[in-house]
Amino acid sequence: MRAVDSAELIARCDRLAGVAERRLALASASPAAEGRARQLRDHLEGFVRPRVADIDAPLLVVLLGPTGAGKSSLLNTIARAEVSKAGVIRPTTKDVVLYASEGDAHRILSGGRLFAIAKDRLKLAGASPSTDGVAVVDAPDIDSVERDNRELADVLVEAGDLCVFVTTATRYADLVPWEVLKRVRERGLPLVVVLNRVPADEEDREAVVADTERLFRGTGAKNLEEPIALIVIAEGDVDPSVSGLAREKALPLLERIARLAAEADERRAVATLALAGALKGLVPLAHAIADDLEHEAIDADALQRIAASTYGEELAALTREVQGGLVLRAEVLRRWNDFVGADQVARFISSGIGRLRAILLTAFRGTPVAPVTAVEAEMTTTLEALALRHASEAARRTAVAWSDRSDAIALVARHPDLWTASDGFGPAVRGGLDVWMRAIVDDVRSHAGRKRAVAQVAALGVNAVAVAVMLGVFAYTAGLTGAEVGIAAGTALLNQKLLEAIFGERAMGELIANARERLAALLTSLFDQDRARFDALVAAPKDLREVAAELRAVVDGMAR
Amino acid sequence: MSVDRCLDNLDEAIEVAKVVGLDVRTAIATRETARARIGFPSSAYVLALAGGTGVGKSTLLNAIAGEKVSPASARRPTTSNAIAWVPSSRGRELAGLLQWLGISELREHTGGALADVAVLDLPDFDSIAREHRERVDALLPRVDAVAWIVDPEKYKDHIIHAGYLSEYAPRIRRQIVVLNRSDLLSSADASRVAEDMRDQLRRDGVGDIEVVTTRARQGVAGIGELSEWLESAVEAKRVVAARIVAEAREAVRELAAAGGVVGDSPVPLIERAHRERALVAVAQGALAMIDVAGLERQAVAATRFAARRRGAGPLRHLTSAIYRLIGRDRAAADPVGFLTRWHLRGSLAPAVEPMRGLMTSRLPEVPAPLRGALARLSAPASLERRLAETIDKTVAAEADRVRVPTSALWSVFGAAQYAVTALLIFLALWFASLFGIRDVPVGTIPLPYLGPVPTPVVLLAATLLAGYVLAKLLQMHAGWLGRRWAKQIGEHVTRDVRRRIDGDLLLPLEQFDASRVALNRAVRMADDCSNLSD
Repeated sequence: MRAVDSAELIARCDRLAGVAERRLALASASPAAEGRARQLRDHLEGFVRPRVADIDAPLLVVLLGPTGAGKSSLLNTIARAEVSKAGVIRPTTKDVVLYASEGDAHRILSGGRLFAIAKDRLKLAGASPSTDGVAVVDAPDIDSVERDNRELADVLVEAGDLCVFVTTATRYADLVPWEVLKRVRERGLPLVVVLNRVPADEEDREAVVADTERLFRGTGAKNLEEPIALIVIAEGDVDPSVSGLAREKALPLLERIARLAAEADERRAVATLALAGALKGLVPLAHAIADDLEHEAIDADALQRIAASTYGEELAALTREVQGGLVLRAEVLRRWNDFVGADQVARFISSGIGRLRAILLTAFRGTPVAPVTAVEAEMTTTLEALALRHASEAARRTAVAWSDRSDAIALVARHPDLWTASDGFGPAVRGGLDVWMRAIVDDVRSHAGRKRAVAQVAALGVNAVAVAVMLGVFAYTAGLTGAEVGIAAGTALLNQKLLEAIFGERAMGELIANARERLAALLTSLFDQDRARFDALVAAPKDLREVAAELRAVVDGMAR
Repeated sequence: MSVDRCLDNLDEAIEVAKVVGLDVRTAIATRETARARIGFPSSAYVLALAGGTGVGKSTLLNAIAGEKVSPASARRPTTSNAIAWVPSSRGRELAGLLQWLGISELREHTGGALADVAVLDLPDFDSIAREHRERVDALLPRVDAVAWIVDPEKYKDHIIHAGYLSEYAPRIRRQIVVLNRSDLLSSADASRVAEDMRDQLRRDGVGDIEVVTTRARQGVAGIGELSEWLESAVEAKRVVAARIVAEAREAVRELAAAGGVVGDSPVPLIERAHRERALVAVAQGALAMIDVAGLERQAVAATRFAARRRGAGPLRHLTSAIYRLIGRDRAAADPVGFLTRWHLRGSLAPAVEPMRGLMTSRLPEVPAPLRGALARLSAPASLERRLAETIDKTVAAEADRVRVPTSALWSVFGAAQYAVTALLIFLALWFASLFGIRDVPVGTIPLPYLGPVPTPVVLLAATLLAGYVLAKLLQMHAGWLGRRWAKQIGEHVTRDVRRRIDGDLLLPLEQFDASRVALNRAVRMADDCSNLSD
């Protein structure tokens, strides 16, 4: 590793770690994908970055393996003392034991190598200063009932310079350790395998050793030719004085560690090898994460599309209903009909004798009071109920469709409110309609520019005229198919005549068109808000694709 | 037989689980497996040796058999296909069962103490040969008894506890945990490890399983405790039955757990008081659609129309014809038509809103698998459909009953109107004769203020007045009669709508609640059933 590009490499690592962090912040439905992202971050922060920053920092040797394989015993042998508890009760180790000289322990901890391990799970075992330069970590097992042990082991795999994988003749073909080992090979970590508890029988022993070599060479397809450093320890080869393994059997490993401690060049060679492997391993990992992201983006797109299309369909159905004129109940319409049909109001419409009669009647009785509040209340209740009906149906249909998908079923289960329109939807409709109605009143005021209109609007009351406009929204061009002829049609006709008499045909059309557009905009935004609850549950596809692209960009630069 | 009863109970649980929208596929698979197992002879039971690779399953079978029936090796994993060790006396009758289990490798033995058990040496479930695990997972649901084999290295592996013991053990009655290879430990350590295993079994929720230690490598001598268990007097038939019953019970329990109804009988989703209040609101909305006030107007108009026909004298032909011509009789005086056209008078959405709100507010309280079904029940469209059906039924029943009231008085009015008309004709003739024949003497009647007025004029005025008064009286009487009738109709419709809504609208919800209760009851039934069969 040339020193010149280390600054640039650090910058890249930081960028990559930043992207990994951003990826972790995005919701993911797949634990495997999330695991890969965490792996990348842990690997960068626990190994690559500190190692690039200081190639001569102490070597971290990680003892990994299944429960009961003898990791702790091996550490005791290395330390020549019982620093880690070994025993027959599984799992024996729940803590991470760091065996290092005081100076090394300090350098390792301050360098951030073990940043992801909680302080209370890290036990320090002091080594003599003669071991300076090499620290050994005993990881908890990876396959016992203690599941958080597995997480710790995963973190340590990402942080080490040299992996000592301890397994047994019973265990060597187990699936869980095998998968951990696969990751060790993928990240290019130098590896020593200790095969413990090998049967004493010569034939069995040979069969097991050969089989283990064959199997282990198969992990991480790229390293097929590379021989595996395999240390074989037989059943019963123990050193009871330190509850460890027999020294003479573990000698090749002990010697290697001793040599590393003694020679800085050797250490540097191992560290450089580990770093080179790590950098090589970063590229496929980053691409795998980018692939995850792109797949997730496709899934997120699909999920959001489901929500968008159901909400769209229901909004269209609502719009049809609203324009179909079937909105207001005849009971209330009749009261409005009685008002606009009254002779006193008819004076604006009729002419000749009828008009004279109407004027006379008005002089005697005054203009009747329009049932403004009743009609407005009816309009609000009905529109709210109709909007709720369709929004609930949209939510329900989306929830059903999402529940059919493995990537969203958990999201729906976590959020029971997704099965229906949100609690705030009804009040939002009411609030929105209130604003809508006030806007129509303002419209009526500003349109009453002509002198005659001013007088007529004043005579009827601006609110009453506004209600006439609102009714026009529902029944103006509706054709009134299906509605009970009589009240609805009669009301619509009278309404239209009244508005035409006051404003003229063009202005009336404008008023109603404005009101209708605003109502459509209101409903659209309310539906969008309700749908946003679904959209917010999945990461935005745009963000996912962005992070994927950035990941690829950073590692592509690295590969060169 | 109690096994049949248990399976019937499972069937019932599956049916009610479907009503509340639970996924019943697993339960159905369990039932099919159980029914299939019953179809095979149960004079011998099938015991599987299950465990991770290298714990000594094959060695153990060899020790049980006292000869080499399954190849054991140091190479991992060894056994890749299950091997059956079957008493030769049962070979023929078990052939079908073994075929159903998918086992082709058979070793026969002469029997002796183990004449009614077929022992299966299963492949491992934890090695890199994933197909081994698949085979085990396919076989375990079909075997009658299991010996879970562990060793000092693997006894606390995540996979055996989380993947197998806590999953399968509650569904199996005859089972044992065997700590094999205990010769690797001192006897004190072996019993400590066995105790640690028992602790872990308790944490798994299956603390009642016996744990024995064996040293299979030493042959028959090393498996004393296990042999004892194997040879302990059990009737094969009972082992098979107990297994099926336990499976059925767990299947029912799982359904109930998914439906959140394990334990106390579930209370109705919606409290009585809330429900009553919402129903009253819905009925009000429905009545607003029916428009009772409008209906009453129609009823009054219809009564008047009927009265005019009989009580308006000869002139009514003229007015009726005019009304018929312009359609006013149908538009304004047709209570039946008005009723049946209720759905044209607005939208039902506001009417069902209170019920929708109430039902959806319970969604967070039911477990996730039930929410789809509850959301469907509370969907406004389905509530509206149901309410519309209810109103239609009310309207149809009401329409049959509508009979416009009538009164004998109207005929009297009619006769009087005929008299009035006759008098008018007579007066017309009189006036005509006055103009036609000159100098006919005419009497006068002295009236106050007016002085003497000619008799025909007085008579004409009096007749016209009488006609008018008669018409008014008829109208008043018909109006009074009509209003009284209209009120009756109105009250009737109101009562009927309320009654029907109370009875009908929430039927699906009641079914939903009833199914939850039934599912809960099925758990107790399943428990009783499995206790009985013990």
